[in-house]
Amino acid sequence: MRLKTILAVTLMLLAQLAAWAQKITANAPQQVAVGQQFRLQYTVNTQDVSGFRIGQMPDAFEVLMGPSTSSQSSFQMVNGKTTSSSSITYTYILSATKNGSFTLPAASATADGKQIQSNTVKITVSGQAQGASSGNGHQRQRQQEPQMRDAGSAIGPNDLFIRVSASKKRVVEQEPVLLTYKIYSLVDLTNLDYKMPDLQGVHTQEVPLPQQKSFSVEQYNGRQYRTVVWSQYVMFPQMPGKLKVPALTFNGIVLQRNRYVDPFEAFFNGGSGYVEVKKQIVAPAVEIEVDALPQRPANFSGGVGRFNVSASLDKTEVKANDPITMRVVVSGVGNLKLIKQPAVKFPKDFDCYDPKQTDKTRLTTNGVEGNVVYDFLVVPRHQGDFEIPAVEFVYYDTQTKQYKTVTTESFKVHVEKGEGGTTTVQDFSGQEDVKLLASDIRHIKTGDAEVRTADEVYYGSGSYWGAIAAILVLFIVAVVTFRKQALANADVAASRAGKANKVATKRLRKAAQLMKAGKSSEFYDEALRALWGYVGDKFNMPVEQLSQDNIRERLSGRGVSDQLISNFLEAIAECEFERYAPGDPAGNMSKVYDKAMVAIENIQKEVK
Amino acid sequence: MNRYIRLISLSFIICHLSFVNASALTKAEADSAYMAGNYQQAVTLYDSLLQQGVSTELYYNMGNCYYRLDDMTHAVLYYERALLLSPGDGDVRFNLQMARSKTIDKIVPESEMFFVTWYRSVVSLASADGWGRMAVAFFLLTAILALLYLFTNRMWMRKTGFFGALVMLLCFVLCNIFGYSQKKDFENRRGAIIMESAVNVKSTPAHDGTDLFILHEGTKVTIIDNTMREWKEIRVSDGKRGWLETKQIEVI
Repeated sequence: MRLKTILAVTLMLLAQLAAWAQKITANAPQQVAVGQQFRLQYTVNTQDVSGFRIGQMPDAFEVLMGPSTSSQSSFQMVNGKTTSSSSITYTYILSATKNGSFTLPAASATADGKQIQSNTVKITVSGQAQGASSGNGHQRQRQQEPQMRDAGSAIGPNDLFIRVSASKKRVVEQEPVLLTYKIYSLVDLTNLDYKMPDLQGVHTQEVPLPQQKSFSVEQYNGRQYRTVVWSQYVMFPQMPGKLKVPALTFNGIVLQRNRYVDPFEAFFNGGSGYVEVKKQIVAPAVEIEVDALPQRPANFSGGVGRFNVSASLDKTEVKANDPITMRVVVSGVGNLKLIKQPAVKFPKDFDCYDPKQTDKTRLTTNGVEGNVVYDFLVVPRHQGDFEIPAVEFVYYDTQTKQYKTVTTESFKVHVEKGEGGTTTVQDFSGQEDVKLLASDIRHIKTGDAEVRTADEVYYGSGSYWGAIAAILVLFIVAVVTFRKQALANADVAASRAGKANKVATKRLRKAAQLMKAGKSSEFYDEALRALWGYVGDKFNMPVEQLSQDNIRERLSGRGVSDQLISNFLEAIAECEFERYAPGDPAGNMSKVYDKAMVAIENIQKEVK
Repeated sequence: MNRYIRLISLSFIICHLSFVNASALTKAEADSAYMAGNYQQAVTLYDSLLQQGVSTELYYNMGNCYYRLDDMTHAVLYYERALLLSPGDGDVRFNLQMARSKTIDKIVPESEMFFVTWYRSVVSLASADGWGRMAVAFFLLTAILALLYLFTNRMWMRKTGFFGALVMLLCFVLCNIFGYSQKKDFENRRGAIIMESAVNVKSTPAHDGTDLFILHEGTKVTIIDNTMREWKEIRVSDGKRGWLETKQIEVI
């Protein structure tokens, strides 16, 4: 029966279309679910429409919006013949409220002066539309609209609360724990303020979350809450034991609608019809069990998590004094910020500088993740082949629950001889030094080389001592050979005495010359000097000490006869007497000369 | 008989001449290699010459070659060897100082009393041989002057002879003392040069001994304990002491 009517209507519709008759077409989905929003459209194919009415809507459908009107028109010119078409569409948005099969009644309108009726549409409502998670855009939008409550209504503990969750309940020291504060709300929460207390024995870092909180809908205890993760913390427990995060009080501000707005009040105070209500929300305390790390190895880096280490050298062949950079990268997840710098055992001859540490980590919900880069700058000072041993990194693996050692490769460095790094020192004194342009070694020794065996030393050798001995022997021979002369020379007095006669003879000869010249005064002086000098020399006595007495004494001591002694003394006396005596000077002089000569000759013969 | 002696002496002279010629030739070759800038070749030539015996000139030239090759360690070693043979040679001293100034370790010698320094510098003016020759010469002069004193009868000659002989005898004694000291140094060979680029001086003659300080190639050390074969106790001129492996140093 119904089918037949639909068929008839459709046929009629087709006939009308064919005749370009004015008509109304209803359009709606055939099947919807409870709670689902859908569109109902009525299209009239003319612009001249008035008195559009729809029939009685079944109570299973709720009109959410409508009618909204939209019109369209089009013109066509084909081979000079103009055709035009236009239409008006009335759109309703409906929502189904209960299951069943319902028929939407026909709508009526007056088009071009004629009363026309639309077709009826049958809609089957079945099933439940899914909630927020269904992804139904319209419904979600509606859910996210603030569920504003009236002012003065109480906000119960189930309307607004905070749940705290820890990623792990039992960890080892240094193992990161993620603490999440999540807000569940049925009210219009606009602001939330709290302060995280400083916790003892734990290193806390807040995970940066977007400033703009976007709520999402979550079913909890049968109710649909708008939820948001308000804050997250990564905690690195530093001490074994119980880690207690105390209950936190959040100060929230909830907007409520004020129904009893005084219009004047609203006008002058900018009252918006809303009231801000302060609400304290208490987040529960959390306890986390922290286990101590097992016996730490000596070279434990302090790292807990999962790590890897790698090293690279920018060059393996350098000249001395040229710097090398060794890059050690510790990568992984865990307490990267709290690890010790890996120790690199550079050769002792390298000058090491403090490494440059580059932090390329980011805080994630797993802990700190990324790389820490250590750049070690070293300067090899001298040439040679060196080895930089592998770098060891010991950490505690939270997955296998034991210590693990990761190592890098070792490097071999070949250091060449560097550039001669001569430093110039300037002197700022007024005077300028002579500038030495360059200093260089002296030239080689050319010509023949004196080659000898290594252990041959002349000093102390046989030939040395031989030479010394030869000289000594020659010396002794000479001394022995010329002993007499030596002995003679050794006695100064004897030598003088030996020469006394010679000296006296010389003086007498001079006296003879003076006698011939007739210089009587000088003659007597010379003769006297010869006589006195002779005895003085002979007996090694100064002339001034001589007297007649001691001469006699000395001469007699040497065995000279008294006759000769008196002759000698007579000669002296006569010499002194004749000097001033009158008479023939020439005869006197010759007499004195003869006497003196005879006296000296005689004594010389006697003494010998 | 006489003829035999003549023959032998002749042949000896010929041998000697040829030997001198050969060595002169190769040394001239080495010298020309040096002058042409072929220092490596010059090193090998001088080295082969040094197989026949030691020589100041060869050591000195060898040192020059190494200096030109920028090997200060060997340069210092050979200059030191040359200096051991001819302590008074100015060229050797100068070049040694040049080479030393290019080595790494700057050692400030221990301060000592000025007369000790003077004594050392006087002693190192000549080698043991030089002092020996001087001693013989002084002894000869002593003898001549003594004879002069004994056998002349002129007073000034006798006086000259007497005092001159005394002075010469004193010189002879001093020459003997210096010569003896130089001979000791030469025979004991206590000086050594560090040949490895860097060595750790140990506190005990063992590999696990504490590292006292680091010395670098080209530094001169004095061996003070030569009794062990593998290890030597050394002293640096600034007074530091420690043990080094024998292979790390080369005796001058």
